[in-house]
Amino acid sequence: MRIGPIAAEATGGERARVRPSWPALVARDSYTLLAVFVVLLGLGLLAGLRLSVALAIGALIAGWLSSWSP
Amino acid sequence: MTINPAGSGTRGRWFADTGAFFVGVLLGALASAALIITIVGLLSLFVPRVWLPFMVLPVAGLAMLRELGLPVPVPYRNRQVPEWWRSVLPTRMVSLAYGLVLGFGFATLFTSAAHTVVWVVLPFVDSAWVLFGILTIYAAGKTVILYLGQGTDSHDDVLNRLTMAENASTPRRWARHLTALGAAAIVLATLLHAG
Repeated sequence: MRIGPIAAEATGGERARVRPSWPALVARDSYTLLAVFVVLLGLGLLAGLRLSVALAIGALIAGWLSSWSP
Repeated sequence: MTINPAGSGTRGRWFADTGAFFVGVLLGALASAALIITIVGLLSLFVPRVWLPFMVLPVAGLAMLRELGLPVPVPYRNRQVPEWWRSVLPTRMVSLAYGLVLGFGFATLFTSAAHTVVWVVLPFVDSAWVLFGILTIYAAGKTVILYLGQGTDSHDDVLNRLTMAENASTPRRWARHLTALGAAAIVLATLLHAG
């Protein structure tokens, strides 16, 4: 596993809790990703899916997904 | 598994590091989009406009087959961001540099059908502002994961969070594949419908 640049030194901030908060867990959750995609797709279809809207949905999924893809 | 760079320490530093990463991703994405737009633009000199959408289908198809697990070639370098950058550069600079490379996308092996398809379809967007908006959304999506590093002040803390947050079960893996394939499919469907 490779981790990006994370400062090893404390900078006066409070000591972090080891257990992540729910937003942190949601940020990397496959089911959340799928649910967000389904909701966005539904909204897009209701609004009449155009290329720009489909690309915006695809871009969000591509960016979010690739942040934890192998 | 590759995790994007994350800032750490105080909230202010985390915001600044995350912002640097976001800017890097956006610049990298702009660079790769410009490259693909140039390629498709050159292609348009030889291929009738009505046939151009079909020209991207082979690349999109390969990416979707790869998403399904088939060992087909994809246009990504089989490399990762150089690890030693983190030991020689300040965190903020490394965040920016990681963002640039990861935002470019094809410089590292982040195979995703959604990513490939969105990029090969980008040249068919007829507004520069819409294009910029799409790339901004991409950069935002890629930055979401940095929330995992929020509030941490050591490398070990982040590792612990990743360990707890990670779940590589088969249903979850297929949820990711399904999402990527679904996103790729709607982009292609709207492209062909519009074309």
